[in-house]
Amino acid sequence: MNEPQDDTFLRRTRAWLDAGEGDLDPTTRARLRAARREALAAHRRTPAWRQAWPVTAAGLAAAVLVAVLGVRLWTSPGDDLPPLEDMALLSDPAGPEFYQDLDFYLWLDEAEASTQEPTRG
Amino acid sequence: MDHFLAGAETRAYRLAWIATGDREEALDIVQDAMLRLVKGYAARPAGEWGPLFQRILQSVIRDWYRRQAVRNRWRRWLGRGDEDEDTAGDDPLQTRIADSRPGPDGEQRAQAAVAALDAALHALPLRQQQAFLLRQWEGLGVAETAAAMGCSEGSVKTHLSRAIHALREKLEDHRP
Repeated sequence: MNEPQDDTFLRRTRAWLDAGEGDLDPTTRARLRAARREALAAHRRTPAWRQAWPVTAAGLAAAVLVAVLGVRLWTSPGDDLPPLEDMALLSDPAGPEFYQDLDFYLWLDEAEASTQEPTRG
Repeated sequence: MDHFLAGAETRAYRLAWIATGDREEALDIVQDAMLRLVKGYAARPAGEWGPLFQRILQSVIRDWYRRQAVRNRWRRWLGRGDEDEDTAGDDPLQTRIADSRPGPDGEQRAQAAVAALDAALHALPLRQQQAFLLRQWEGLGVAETAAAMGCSEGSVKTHLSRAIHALREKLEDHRP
């Protein structure tokens, strides 16, 4: 749709609207000034923590996010970071394969012990 | 902020007055909009205050219209619609037209034209009224007007076109 910006009729309506604004009575102007002062005063009366609530809320949200991520990483079952008992296995000089075949080594140890006992007697 | 509001308050009042046709309601609307701007956006850069204030003001005016519509429905339901019709002649905008009929004097003619425009705008549907005033008087762009009205840019163009058409017809008598 066309919006004829330079139309004479539209220019005239703008002039009438401006004239109406200029003709505003002193009482209304005074009440508008009072309304403005009241709005500004109400803002000054607002406690500082409420004025800064968006910053406070953002800070709280960030703290909660860090806490959730921390707990998630701490308790995750071997996704990225291993739990503490796995750390102990990995740092053992025997290596993880030793613990995987632990049953075999226990059986071997028992088997060797049983074959040595008759020769001793 | 004080300086900004001082420069915006009379226009804001005119917009609210045209929308409501009532001085007390218009003053309440402007004060409410000022308070919301100061409380919510005083920390924003001063360059953003104009569009924000316009958006808040139009939102408060829309809320006022919704409340009025609900109130009127209840009045009709309670059987008090006749009282409204009896007091319809007290519309201040209509009274202003009656008080300032075109006369021979140039100043009188201008006053009559201002009053007739106010009344013609007041009679428009709210969306047409908003589109016309924001685009033609406040000088907002289509996108800014759409943001202030909470509608699409296409709707702004449609409402504006209809408003201009209606106003041309109603103000035919006031052409020089």
